[in-house]
Amino acid sequence: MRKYAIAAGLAAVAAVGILGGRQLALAGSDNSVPGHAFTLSGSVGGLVPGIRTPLRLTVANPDSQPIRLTSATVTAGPVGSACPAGLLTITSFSGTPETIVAGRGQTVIELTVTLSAQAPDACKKVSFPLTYAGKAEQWH
Amino acid sequence: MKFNYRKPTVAAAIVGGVLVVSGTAAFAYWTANGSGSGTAGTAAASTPLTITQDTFSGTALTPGGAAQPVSGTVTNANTFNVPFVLTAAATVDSSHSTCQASWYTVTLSSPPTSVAANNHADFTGTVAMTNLANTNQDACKGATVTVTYTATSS
Repeated sequence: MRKYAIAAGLAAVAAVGILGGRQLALAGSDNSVPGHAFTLSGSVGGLVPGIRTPLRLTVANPDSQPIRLTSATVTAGPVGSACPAGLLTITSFSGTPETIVAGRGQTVIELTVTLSAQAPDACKKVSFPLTYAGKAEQWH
Repeated sequence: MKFNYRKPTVAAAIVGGVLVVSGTAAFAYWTANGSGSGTAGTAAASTPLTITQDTFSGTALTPGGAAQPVSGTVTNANTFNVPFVLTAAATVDSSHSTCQASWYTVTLSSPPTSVAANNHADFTGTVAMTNLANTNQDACKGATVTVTYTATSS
């Protein structure tokens, strides 16, 4: 009788171990799937010295899972020595307001760009190149 | 002897089961990076503000006489708000060259400091002639005083 009890206990423990192992494997599988890179796009025009101008960026999510945008930054490049990129002040996005991008969807966030009030005439009718970078996390 | 042989086996199996179960507590989620590019273009030029004074409806200016009202409008044809500082100064027509402009004072009452895109801002003020003791100001009789307004970007 005691032999059967011990054998049953072993079988139960073995079953739990097998189930637990399967769950872990699934979790590991989820962890190994990298998030697809999303894209940021948008431009702004008509900048004049000292005036804040909206920069609307479209965040496009190519993945089927929704994502929550946690940050977005913009880096401006120069257009010449007489009109350096430092004359532009561009805000960044740090996660608020909460921005969810649906799976295979897109949304728009708004930053602002200000050309320095001290910008010289060399900055008339020029185009600063902008580079966007962002981070997001999976959203359930 | 058999009983003592199996006891450690059960303990090892239970420990193994606990470890496996605790392993599933790890939460699976991932992060993603985004990138892109664009441009920030500047305007070729801005359109100057237009300042227009309303038709003067006051009476002739006399030394020490009552200040006469002036008013006008600053118009912005640009697609953006323009901040500025509004000033006004008087000049006298050239045929009355000995009548000094400094004898006239233009005062603006809380002038606007900005004008919205494609909009206008109104202003009011007064112009007066100062009475100078022991100074003959007859040279200003019949003179035309022009008030010039200037909006300087701020």
